[in-house]
Amino acid sequence: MLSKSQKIQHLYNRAAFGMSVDQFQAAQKSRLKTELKNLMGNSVGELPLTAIAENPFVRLREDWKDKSFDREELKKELNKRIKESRVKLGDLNTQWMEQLTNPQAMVREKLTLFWHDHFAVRSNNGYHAQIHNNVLRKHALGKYRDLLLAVAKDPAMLAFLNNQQNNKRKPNENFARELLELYTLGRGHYTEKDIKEAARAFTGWKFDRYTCQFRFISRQHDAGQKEFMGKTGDFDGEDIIDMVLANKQTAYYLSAKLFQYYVSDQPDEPIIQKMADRFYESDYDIEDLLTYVFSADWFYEERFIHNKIKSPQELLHGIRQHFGLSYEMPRALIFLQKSLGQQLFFPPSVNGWSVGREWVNSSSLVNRMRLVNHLARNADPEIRVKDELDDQGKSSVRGAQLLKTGRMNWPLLEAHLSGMRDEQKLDALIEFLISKPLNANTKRALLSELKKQEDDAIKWLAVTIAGLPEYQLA
Amino acid sequence: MKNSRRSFLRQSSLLAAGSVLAPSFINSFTNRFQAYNGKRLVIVQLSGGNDGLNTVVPFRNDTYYQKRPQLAIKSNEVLRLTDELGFNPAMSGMRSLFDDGVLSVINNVGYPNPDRSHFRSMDIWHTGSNSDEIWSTGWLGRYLDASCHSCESPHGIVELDDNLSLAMKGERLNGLAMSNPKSFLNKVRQSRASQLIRLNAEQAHEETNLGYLYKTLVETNQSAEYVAQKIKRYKTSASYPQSGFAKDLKTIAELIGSGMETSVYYASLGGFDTHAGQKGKQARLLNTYSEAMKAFVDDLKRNNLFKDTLILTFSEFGRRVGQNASAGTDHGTANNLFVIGESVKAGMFNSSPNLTDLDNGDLKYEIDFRRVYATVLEKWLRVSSEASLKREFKTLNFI
Repeated sequence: MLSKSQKIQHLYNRAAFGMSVDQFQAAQKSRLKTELKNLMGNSVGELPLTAIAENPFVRLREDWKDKSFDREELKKELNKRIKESRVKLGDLNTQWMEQLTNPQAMVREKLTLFWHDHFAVRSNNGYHAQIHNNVLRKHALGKYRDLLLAVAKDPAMLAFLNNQQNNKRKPNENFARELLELYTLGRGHYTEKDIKEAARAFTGWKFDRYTCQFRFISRQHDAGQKEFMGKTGDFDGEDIIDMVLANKQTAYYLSAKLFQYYVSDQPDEPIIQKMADRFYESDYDIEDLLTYVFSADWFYEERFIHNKIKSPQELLHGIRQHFGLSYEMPRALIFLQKSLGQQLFFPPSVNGWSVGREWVNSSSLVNRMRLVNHLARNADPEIRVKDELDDQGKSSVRGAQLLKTGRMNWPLLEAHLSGMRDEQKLDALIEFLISKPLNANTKRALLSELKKQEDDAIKWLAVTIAGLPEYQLA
Repeated sequence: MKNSRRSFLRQSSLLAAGSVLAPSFINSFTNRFQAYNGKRLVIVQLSGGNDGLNTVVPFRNDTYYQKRPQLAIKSNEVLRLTDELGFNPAMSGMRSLFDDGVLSVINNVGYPNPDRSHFRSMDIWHTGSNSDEIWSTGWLGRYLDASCHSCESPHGIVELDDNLSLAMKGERLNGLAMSNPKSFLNKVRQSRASQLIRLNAEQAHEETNLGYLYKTLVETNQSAEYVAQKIKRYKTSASYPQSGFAKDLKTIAELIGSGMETSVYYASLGGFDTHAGQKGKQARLLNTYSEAMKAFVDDLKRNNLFKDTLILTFSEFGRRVGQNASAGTDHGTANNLFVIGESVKAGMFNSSPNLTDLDNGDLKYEIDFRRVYATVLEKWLRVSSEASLKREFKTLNFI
């Protein structure tokens, strides 16, 4: 049986990115129900990202009408602005990084990251990326139909999966395919014919380059009869979405994915089935489903505690929570994301990021285990950054400079352990950082080394515990 | 002895000094990569989409000069290889490999329904999937899976980087990524791997995620021990250019020379996404590439290591035939590819690209890149290519 505080910690590990010292201390005097209510309650509101002020196309529109401007010059200017907005993706990234552990938004933010992976869109236009991200955030806890429909009408998605090129004369199947394969039913639950017919239904779904608003171009839309999943009619995109949501397989597919994100990498069929039933019956109410999961007895079963391999984002935010790590130059966080292989706004494929064990191989494991030690010393972790668009090495040199501006909040952690004997310190730190007892051998070795430390014993101990393979799990 | 201030983050041992690895972990049998047959494949990835038309220049083609008024390379500057094609002037190193009869240039390599996104197209090259399929394992990772059923060490494939690329991730086995052996050994030492393995000997056998982490740590430690033993024995005296890419090739030459049982090495050179101001930028990169390759081949030759080494160079796509408004080129499709080795059918493998029969301004591919992979797997590494590529592809006769 888990103690009350272990349960609260598990909830924070999964619903958010672990606990800060303050949150950990407050939880000792709190109740699980209260904590869950607070976590969900704090995420009712939404904090949209605002780093990118305007659409790079907007001012150009007026110039374009004015025939006295040279077209070639305008095109060049446009390319320049798109490039600038790409650079600004960095500001968008750091704004979101700060927000992901904001106590006033944690559940919504972690869920927004889930949708960012689910709808893995890349956009060269930073303004589009920002709109897209805010759409995910706005509907993160709402009804999945609203989320899906908003995403389907969103400029980043329309551009990324080529629906801009989807018209009656020459349908483009890209969006329709991913809609069925990745966003709703999952592989094996539709035919190639379904994809073709769905693509026709989404013809004419475009966005306006200047206003970034969705536009339905009826002369490009194929209004003819379509045969989709055994039904015939003059379906449009919304009809297709309604039909795939009416299929219970969609509730199952999404539940399995959410189970993996919040509960365990090993699927548990009966539980996923229960989640799917609930989700389907609530008309795909995401908040209801999450509250159900976080209140379920099975969620706090021993087998689900401390059993998930952290994604690089979870690892990084966990470190920020545990150690109060912040950077005067927040772009250091971008360098760290690149080093660890998970940079916001740059999912590696339309399928999103790796999951679970896929994150671990010989190279990544030692880099991840050494990470806290290097961050604590503001030292270069010596991880070469793969950046297909940059020349070799440049970003690494700059990254090492940025990391020097980091600071960890040691006084807070030291105060937490003040007045304790070595054994108690060790237990308290294991509890705080790992949330599950350590193997007795490791613990004994840690204790005997701890006794040899003169000053900075707490730093040594905390950094050493965070260097264990156990710290890679939550 | 008490540890003083400042040393708090020192990587102190968790066990008394003098403790060593448990004997089972240094058993040399578990360190073997059984599939190694003495043949080595080195893969060089040019990331960002290298402009193939300004790499292998069709200097007799009027269309080329019409479509690239500023970017085209003048016919008198081209390093001529045949009556029609010649290298970019920055590639004298590669030119001499061509003259030596160890380089095969394969034109018009690509795949059906090409994707012009870097990361998508790179994924396709890494996994070997069709353009409408999303696979999560790489062609070399699946080669590892298929060729080694009892391997415990990941050094059968070594990538010169700190993050392992998708190409080398298998279902069961992964390649080993290290930007250089010394830093890898240091990192493994810093992670206290050997002590932690001793302290947690039972964990490594569990099916849990924690067990998986410890099992990976054991493998990592084995690889580190193996690399440490091997690398001591060999150091090249050859001189290489200063670039990071040349350093990587030098490291590969040393790993080969040290007798590592590694079948595939993988190195990358990035920066080829030349949308603007292409001419100088690409020339600098091609020069870096070409000089490093020449030094690498010379080094291997001098040490009698070249005859069992095959080097394959690719990029995720070529670029458009016409230049854009910023004296650069945008993402395109089919591209050329280089294979270097003593057993290659040297010279121009096939005809130059057709610049008039285009698909929407882009070259049409003639050879599926997976046929190149199949050839290398079947005729060089001597394994069945189907396990690695999941489909059957006809081999080519460049080997």
